[in-house]
Amino acid sequence: MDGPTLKHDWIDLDGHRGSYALLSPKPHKETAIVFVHGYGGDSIKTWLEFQFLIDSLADEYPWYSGCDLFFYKYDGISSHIPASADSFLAFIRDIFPIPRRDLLDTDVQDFPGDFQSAAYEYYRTLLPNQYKHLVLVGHSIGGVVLRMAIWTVLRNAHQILIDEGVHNCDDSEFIKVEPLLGSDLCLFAPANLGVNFTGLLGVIANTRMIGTLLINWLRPVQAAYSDLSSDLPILDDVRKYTEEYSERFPSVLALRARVLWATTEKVVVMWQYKWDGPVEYCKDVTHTEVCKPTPEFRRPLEFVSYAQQRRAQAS
Amino acid sequence: MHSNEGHKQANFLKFLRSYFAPAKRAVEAANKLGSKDTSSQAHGSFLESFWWLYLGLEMEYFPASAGILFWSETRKDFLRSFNYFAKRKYRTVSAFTDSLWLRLQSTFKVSNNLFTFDGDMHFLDGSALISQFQTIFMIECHFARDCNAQILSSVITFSSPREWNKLRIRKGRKRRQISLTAVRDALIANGEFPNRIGEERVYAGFFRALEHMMTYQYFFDSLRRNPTVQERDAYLLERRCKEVSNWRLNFYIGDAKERFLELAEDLGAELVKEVKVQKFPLEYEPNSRDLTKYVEGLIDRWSNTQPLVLSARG
Repeated sequence: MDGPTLKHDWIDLDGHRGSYALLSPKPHKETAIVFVHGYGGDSIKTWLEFQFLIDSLADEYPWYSGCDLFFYKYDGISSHIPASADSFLAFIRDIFPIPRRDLLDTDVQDFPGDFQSAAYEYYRTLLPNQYKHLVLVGHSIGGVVLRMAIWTVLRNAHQILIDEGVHNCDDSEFIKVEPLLGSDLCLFAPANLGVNFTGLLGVIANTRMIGTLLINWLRPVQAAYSDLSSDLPILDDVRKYTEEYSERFPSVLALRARVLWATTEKVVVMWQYKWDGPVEYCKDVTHTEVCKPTPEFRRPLEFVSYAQQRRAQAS
Repeated sequence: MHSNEGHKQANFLKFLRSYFAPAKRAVEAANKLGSKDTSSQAHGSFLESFWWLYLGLEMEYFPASAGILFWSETRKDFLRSFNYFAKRKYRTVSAFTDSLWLRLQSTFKVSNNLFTFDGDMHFLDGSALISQFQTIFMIECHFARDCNAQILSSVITFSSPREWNKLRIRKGRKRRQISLTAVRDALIANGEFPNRIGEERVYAGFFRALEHMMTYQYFFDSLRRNPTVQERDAYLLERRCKEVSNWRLNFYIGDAKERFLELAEDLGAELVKEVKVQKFPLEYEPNSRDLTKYVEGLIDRWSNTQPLVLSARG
């Protein structure tokens, strides 16, 4: 008897305070899933139960057991969205496609015991040399951060191709220059088109009083929120160019998100971009619940995994 | 290396980095500082790391061999923290639940072995809960390392009435204005336990505590509904985990509950004032009592799962 088996290891990430990974011990891992929380959320509570349901429901969702999960933490309150997108890109560059070798925070100097070398040996085996697939998952404003990050890398890739004299590039050239553009983009109730302020205040007032009070109180310094609620052209620009490029390069996956909404959505403006996947809804959950799986509500687990699973089956 | 053993080694490393090391650093810093509040908080954190070690070994989340070796090498450090509380007659001891205190006494006074206490109820199928245990350990770790949460816990639990009054935002009968900007900055910032305990950090810790209680409650409400987990084990996991960290938000001791509600009252008044000044469009009339009522409800739910002293093996 070898005792209970835990399937994903929880490990902090060096240089990214508050972010962590749940790494599968399986060899030959090819897929990284990166989660980006929303306004006022964090890397743990926004995705609560994802952390263990991927293991406790492994028989029903075996795809997760061969994936590494990364939970990104950023200042979703006082940072502007373009700055958050930039920080996110610095984070993702440490992971995909080639994870930084010293990414795992394993420094244990000054501790007694012989277990250290054994633990190091184990850690060393946890990161693959390279990931082939990336799934980007965002909730609420985290979705906008991802859209903006994708748009940024797309522009950079386009510029690189032009600099190289490639003026009529095709989809595959884009992805070759910028592998992030081949990622699967899964958004839970994204704030793509802005925030419904009255709705936000109303819905939180009825459910979480503290949330209302906090949001009101913090509003004067909510950089992220002001990006979404004022007349700044950020959202319009991201939408316009994403749609335009998506039409020209339909195989660039990251430009076409799959979006899952709660039917009772009252916090964000509920619509998606022109070339995004078919509209998907789930009933009886709120804006904050739509991304949290439970043993009874498994849609978030299915939503994140189904596209990659289908692709794997097809290949 | 066998992968399961590797898992356990990695978990143990995580425990050392996330719980043990920060707690040890806090004790060393508190010893230099010489403040009673800070020392109590630091020794409490250090003992908490002992209980996580104990529970992690029992759950087989940590490797037995490394855990026992580690225990033998650090026993004296833990004993020092045990003695810190054992020698004090004031209420700090009651911050810890009876079962934990009995376990400590059994470990340190009766024998030098780690597993000598016979009063714990055991899991029917601990292996089915190992992933859930890791998640709750993650949540607890997040809270325990939060600087504002530590300060809040320290002042509501360990501060003397005189020290508490020094921190209170009232001056005589007149309310002194809270700087919400300073509270906001404290909430966004993070870091090690600071030398100076400012009121803005206490209020920031208050919000962090509310958030923690809600997350904790959500997690265990869901776990109890999980058909793949034995209901008795779900309750037991909640009880065992909560008794380990409960001292941080133990509303049964001293004035902790009154102090916490006092913070709610003051912040509620300040927040409502802010809402009115800025003329936010609300669908209801804001009232400072709303926050206090909300917090009272949360405390009731939180305290309803107050750990019990268990007397029989399951």
